[in-house]
Amino acid sequence: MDSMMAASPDSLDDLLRSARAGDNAALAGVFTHYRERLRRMIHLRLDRRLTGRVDASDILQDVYLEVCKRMTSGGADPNLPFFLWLRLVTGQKLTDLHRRHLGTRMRDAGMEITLHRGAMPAASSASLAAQLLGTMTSPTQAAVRAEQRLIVQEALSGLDPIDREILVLRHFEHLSNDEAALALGLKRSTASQRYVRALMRLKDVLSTIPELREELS
Amino acid sequence: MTVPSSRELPPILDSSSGVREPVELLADEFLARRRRGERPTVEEYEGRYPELAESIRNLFPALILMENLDPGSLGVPASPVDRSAATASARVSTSAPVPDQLGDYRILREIGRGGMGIVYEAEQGSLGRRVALKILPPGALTNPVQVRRFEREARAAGRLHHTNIVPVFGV
Repeated sequence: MDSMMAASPDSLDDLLRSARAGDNAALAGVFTHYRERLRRMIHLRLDRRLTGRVDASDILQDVYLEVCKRMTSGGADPNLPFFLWLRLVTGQKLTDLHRRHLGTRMRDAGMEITLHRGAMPAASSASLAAQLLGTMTSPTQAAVRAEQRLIVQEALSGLDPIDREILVLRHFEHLSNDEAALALGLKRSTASQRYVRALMRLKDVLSTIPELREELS
Repeated sequence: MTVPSSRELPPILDSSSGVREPVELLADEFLARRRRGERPTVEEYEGRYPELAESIRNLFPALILMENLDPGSLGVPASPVDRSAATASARVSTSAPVPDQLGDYRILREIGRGGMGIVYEAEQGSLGRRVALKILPPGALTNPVQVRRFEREARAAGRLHHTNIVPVFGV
């Protein structure tokens, strides 16, 4: 993802400072900078029953409007890095969308994860698989990797939701340990321990599968 | 009020910081290097940190596996099946003897093949719709492990509904 970030760190800091101060052009620049990361998060967390009915670009558009609205009314949460705040707004939009489209069927989804700063749809193992499959460029490549992917998907479904969440945050959303800690409302030391524990559990589940034992030993 | 910059963490973390796991810090560095395009090895880290070698050996392979599945490592956004790649692979593959008709399905052409079998474009006569038929390679049916894999894949994929996941109609 880093290669897609056009703004250099210095100019990004400038943009962030101006955006927090209420500069709309800077806000647009910041949003553009984080857009692909937010899109990836949407792909990971949008209920699969809504794919085809709602489009990630439309959701991002809605998120941007909401962000603009909040910037004029109270500003971004000063206790969160700006990206995590954007991520939070996106999570809330997704939750609203799930409620609106799925209503009572939300319950069977069982995928809303309560975090200390607000609920956000968890990355379900099925949406993970969907995300993984979406990257396949040819049927042949897809066939070759399908086996391994399904095995890992089954392993992920067997994990505790928080374990799965932290693996998704670190590996698929590319959050740092401190960012993951903030997103989950954990101390940085706890986030660090939980990540190690989640990896160990994933490994334990995967090592019971003969095809993967060699790769993991 | 001072405004935190993107990389400066807010004060609440400092008060509740605590110490990160040593092996997690190494995992972090290992991942950062991989994402920059370097190819660090597990052995390198075992050698550099002998006191953590066991944890490294335990954790890093699972970490690499997760990272290989990271959609971002192949470039987002997710794209639908590339049709030109599909026809290209159909062209190079040798056409195995396949019946024109399999039950309700009339086979039209080969789409692609992989370790798990060959995929054909077919027409389902009774419903008049185009489908993809995945057929295990010859000999695979005598191998119970292969058959189990095939069934497991179908079951798992059959539970999913996604634009980029082929729905399973039947086995």
